[in-house]
Amino acid sequence: MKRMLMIMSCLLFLLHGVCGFAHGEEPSVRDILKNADRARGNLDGIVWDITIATSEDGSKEARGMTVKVKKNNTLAKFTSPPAMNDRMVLMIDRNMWFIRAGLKKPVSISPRQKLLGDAANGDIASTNYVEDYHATLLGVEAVQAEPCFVLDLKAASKNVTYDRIKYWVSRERLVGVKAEFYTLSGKLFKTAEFKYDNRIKLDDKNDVPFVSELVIRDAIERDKITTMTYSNIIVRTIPDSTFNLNTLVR
Amino acid sequence: MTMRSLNIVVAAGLCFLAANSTAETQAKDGRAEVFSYNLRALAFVDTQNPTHSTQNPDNAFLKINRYSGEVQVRPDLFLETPSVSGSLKPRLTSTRRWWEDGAMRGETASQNRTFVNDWQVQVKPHEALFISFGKEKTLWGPSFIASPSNVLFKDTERVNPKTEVEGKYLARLVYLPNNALTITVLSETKKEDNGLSGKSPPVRALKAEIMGSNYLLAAIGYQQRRDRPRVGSYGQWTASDSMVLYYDGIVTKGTDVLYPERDAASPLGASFVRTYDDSAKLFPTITAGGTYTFLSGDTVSMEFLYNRPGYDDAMARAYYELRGDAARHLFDGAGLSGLSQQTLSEALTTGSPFLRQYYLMGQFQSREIKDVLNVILRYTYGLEERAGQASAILEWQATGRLQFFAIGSANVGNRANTEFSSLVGSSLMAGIEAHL
Repeated sequence: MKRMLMIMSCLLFLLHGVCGFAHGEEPSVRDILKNADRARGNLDGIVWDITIATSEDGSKEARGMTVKVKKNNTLAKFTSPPAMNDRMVLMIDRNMWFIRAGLKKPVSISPRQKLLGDAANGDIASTNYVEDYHATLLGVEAVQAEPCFVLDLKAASKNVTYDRIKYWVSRERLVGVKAEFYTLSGKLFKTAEFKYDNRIKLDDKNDVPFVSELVIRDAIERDKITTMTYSNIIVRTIPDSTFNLNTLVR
Repeated sequence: MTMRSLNIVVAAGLCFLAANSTAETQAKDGRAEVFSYNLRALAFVDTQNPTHSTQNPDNAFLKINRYSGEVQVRPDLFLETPSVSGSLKPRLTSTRRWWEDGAMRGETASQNRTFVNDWQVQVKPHEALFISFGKEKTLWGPSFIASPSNVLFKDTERVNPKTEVEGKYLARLVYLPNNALTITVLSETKKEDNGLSGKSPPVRALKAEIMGSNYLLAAIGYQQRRDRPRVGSYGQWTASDSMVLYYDGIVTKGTDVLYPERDAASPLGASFVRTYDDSAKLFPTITAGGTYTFLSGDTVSMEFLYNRPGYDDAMARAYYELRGDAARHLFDGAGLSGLSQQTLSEALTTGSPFLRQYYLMGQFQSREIKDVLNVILRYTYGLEERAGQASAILEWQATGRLQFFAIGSANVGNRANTEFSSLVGSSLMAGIEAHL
């Protein structure tokens, strides 16, 4: 009997490992955020293409970029429009630089500086909410009929892009589906919705959902919409030197 | 071997290395681009108003043109493989100039030039080791008005982002012992022509850079044969999501700067002398500042510059007196005219990045206005002369390939003999940049 119980425990443990969290068992807040971060690029090496499109007062603009991400480091090279394909943004944790091929001196910029529309520099980096924010579980709510954990994220330091985020994470898929971003004074200034139509292979067994679209809406000018589309996602090892200003040939 | 043939050899070498490593690259990354390029063409007109200052009497000394028109073709070619990367930036320029002021009034001139502005080959013999050689631009530091810690390149490329600084021949070794530390050893490989005093021995430097989660600190030690010890440093701190604070500075033992001194032997009564050439005094030059980004994305920057080698009030008075005397005698007979010319040359390039000691800069930057317009407004103010320079940079992205730009500056202070109005009172450059 004792031997049977041990075998069953081992099987349950293995099942947990393969299928994620067993039915009925709620993951911890930390696990929820860790999974949600992973689906938004917090990995050891990933390359993706991002298209940022804005629409405001009937006018439309778009930028394309190829982004290399390794944990908290990001190198984004603009690929379109042609007038911008000599530009790069390098982020090493919270240190950021804007680089133009013609100008050799990198310009130090802040994460809040605008990229296009309502997308800030910090928005093209992977998220590391699990480390950057103190999270509290507020409850469970449905977003488009999908039950979601509602998390209240408060900045753990002054160095994060947003002071407070209300974050809806799918209970079943453990990916962030909606977010509200607040200023220090508690004013809502933008909202975001996420889609996960991409899938990435982390190893031979695990095939996990990955962000495919992020729609940012301005809280005041509701018709001002910024859409970030993620495609051509490749998981691969990226050397640390990729994110070093001294070795970047430009 | 001439530099031109060396360039061709290096370019051929890049192609050969690329051809040999293409298969390897593509196998590792299904969409890696071994070759990439940008091709830009610029056409612009420039107008500037030479001032009637003692630095350039009757525009006879510097012969500044009133108008110019220029067409530039700027291809940038890049090679990137796992073990070798490189860049080659040839330039074709065609310029026409018109003179309207002083001795050159009515003159015109044209010039066509083909050259390589900068090129670089970088090999990676080990994951943590990079060796490069080329005609490189190695600009660093976060400040706007000057990069004191960089003795190789004084220009920050920020006054006019459409002009390019030409590279210098450098050999460089970069070692990355870990993610936080970068050590760079670099050396000029060619003696540099420094104008009046001939050629300077190559500058060698050792730079150590430490990167933290929200800060960067760098220290640079310089060595140059027969020259003084110099230590530079720069750093930045992302204090919050919206604020970046920074500094950039250098300290030298003694200084090469020329100071005006009474000279009974000189017909001008004074001359420029390297007063502190052998001095044990320390001469720091440092900038410190910060940028703040509002929720709207607009950015405000403030920067302070302290320049110890610059002139105090008494020295500045003596400087302007000597410059004035030289200007008065520029058109005299052969002997004094030559001395005046030399004195004006020394007055123009005293060796100090700024003439005086205290400066402030304020800048407002609004990017992506309606997703197409970038605006930079900047004011640099000399606290001692109470005069400054206002400048504006406008870039309008008309289409995905065409950008219109205008870069203007005007001196504020209404006096001809201040530092900022010594050469040009106002200027405007306007043009179009096409990405082909």
